Amino acid sequence: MEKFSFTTRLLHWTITAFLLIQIPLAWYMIDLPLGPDKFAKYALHKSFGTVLFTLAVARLIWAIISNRPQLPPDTKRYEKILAKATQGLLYLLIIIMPISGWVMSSAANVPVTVFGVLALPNLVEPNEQLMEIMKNVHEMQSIALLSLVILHFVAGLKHHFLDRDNVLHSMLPMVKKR
Amino acid sequence: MKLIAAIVVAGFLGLSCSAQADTSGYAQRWVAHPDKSVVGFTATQEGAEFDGQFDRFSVSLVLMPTDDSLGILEINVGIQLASVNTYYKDRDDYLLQQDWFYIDMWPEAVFSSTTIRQLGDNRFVADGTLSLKGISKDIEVDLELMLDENGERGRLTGTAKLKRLDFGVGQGDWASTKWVGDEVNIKFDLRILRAFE
Repeated sequence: MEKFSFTTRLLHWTITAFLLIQIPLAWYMIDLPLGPDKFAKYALHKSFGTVLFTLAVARLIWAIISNRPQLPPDTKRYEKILAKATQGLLYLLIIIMPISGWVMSSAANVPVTVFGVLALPNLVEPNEQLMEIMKNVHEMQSIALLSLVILHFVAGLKHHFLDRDNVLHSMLPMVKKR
Repeated sequence: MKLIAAIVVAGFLGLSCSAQADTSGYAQRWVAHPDKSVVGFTATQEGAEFDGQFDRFSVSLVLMPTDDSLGILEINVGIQLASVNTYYKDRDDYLLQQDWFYIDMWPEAVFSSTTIRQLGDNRFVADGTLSLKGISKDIEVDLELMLDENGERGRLTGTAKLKRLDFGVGQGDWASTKWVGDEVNIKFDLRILRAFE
């Protein structure tokens, strides 16, 4: 299997890094007592979320316009379907999760600012009920996302250690092809 | 019912207004209709503006007929701080606590005008004292008064700028303006009506 393009790999790993910060940060910040520290963590989470959204959209556009390497010819049909479905859902989630967070913030009447510099417009009018709904939606999406990330990660390891093909290598930043 | 209560409350405020108030040429007592009026504010959190309002307040005015309209002699406002509403309950509850409004100690904010200058046809500037959280400071309120043709109802809008830290609103960790800005813009839009006693 060919390696993914440099741009694809760069976007893939940058997004991964942000996700690995965002999810634990979210778990940590929600239990903090209301105070400046909580505000700081929320502000950071929202700023990173905005960056993630931008990267996710860029990634989607790039995935559409660029060629992607084919999976090894001996890949089973169900594996192809599973891989496509997982990756499709991952794309979907990294795009809709920042939006659900943005709607939640808007509904809570706490506008999103990007690193304290750029204030984003509110997507909806303040609405406490909607805020509660979006909180649950955002949380469920995070569980789904994390589960898919783990599945995707395990699948990569399976290719490497069990199938002993170069699917994992095709996305790694540095490692040479086997 | 709320309206009647507001008129009764206004009646007890002890304004310089006599029983002759309903006679043209004399000072008239007016009140704000509580259900049709809004006393709001804009503050900043995490660098972005958000709006809030107070759901319970009373406003009484003393208006004086002039040759062709009415001048404002006096304005008194009382705001129940427990009614703060930023459309986010967690934040509202937090605002009632000691570091912020400390409503157990100071449940009400009061503005009383001292002098009111007329700037234009409908525009006025009220100088007065705002008492909030045990601190009284002079502030300036811009007002615009519009009356209906029959002269018994009208609309009073206004704005004022204040700094929360002047009144000790936001203490401890919140004395820093990093996450919550110091400046708060007050804005109100009141439906007013003449109170006949």
